[in-house]
Amino acid sequence: MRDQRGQSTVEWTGLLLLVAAAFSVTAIAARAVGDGGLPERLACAIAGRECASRRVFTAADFRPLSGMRAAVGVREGPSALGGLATIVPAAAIVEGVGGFVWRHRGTLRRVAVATAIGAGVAATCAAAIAAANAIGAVGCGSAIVIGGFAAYDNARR
Amino acid sequence: MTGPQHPPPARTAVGLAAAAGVVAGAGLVRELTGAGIGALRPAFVALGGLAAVACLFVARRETGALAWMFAALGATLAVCAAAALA
Repeated sequence: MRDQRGQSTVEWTGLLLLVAAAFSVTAIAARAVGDGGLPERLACAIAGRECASRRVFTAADFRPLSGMRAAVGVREGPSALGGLATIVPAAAIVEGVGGFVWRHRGTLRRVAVATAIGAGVAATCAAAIAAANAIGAVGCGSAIVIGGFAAYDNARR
Repeated sequence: MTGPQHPPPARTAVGLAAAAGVVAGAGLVRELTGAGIGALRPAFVALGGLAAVACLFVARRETGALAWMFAALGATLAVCAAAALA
């Protein structure tokens, strides 16, 4: 019978490689399409100005969806709760979420990359401390330097 | 050439990671001093990618906490190289 020791490590490493490859492709694709402006939108929200674009939930907003003729899910009359709230069609919510993601794709990319780098550095150093040897110390140190540079480079793009 | 393919030793992988760290540190210093990273970026991408592959191969062979460290280090290197490339 063949030795099965380390088999899960092989599978786990393959999964890790797959995730890293997918992440890299996503990062490159997001970089190719451009940046968004989440800080600007946050400033607008705090200041209360109308520079924010379309809202997802509205009270009494009966505008038809752009590009859609069928009023899917739009209530014609007052609701069961006396017309206090309007239920925005599910398509509008999906469109709003998609639009939000698309507008802020640059910021989302930066946050995702920074999170991945931080998690990787933390995991490297945690495992290095558990290993408690010179290789772990060098690995942790290099991970901190590499992660610091990459996070800085990622933030200023 | 026949025979089993051996993964790179742990010292080689961690040495590559340390070299990538040195390049990253030099690039960061140059960036902060306003000199510009220049040719250090492709060097970092190449070295980081190579070190990531070496670390992930070593993680297959190692066991325990050291395997986790190499896997996490390899993933970190891969993400950092991709971030510098994109």
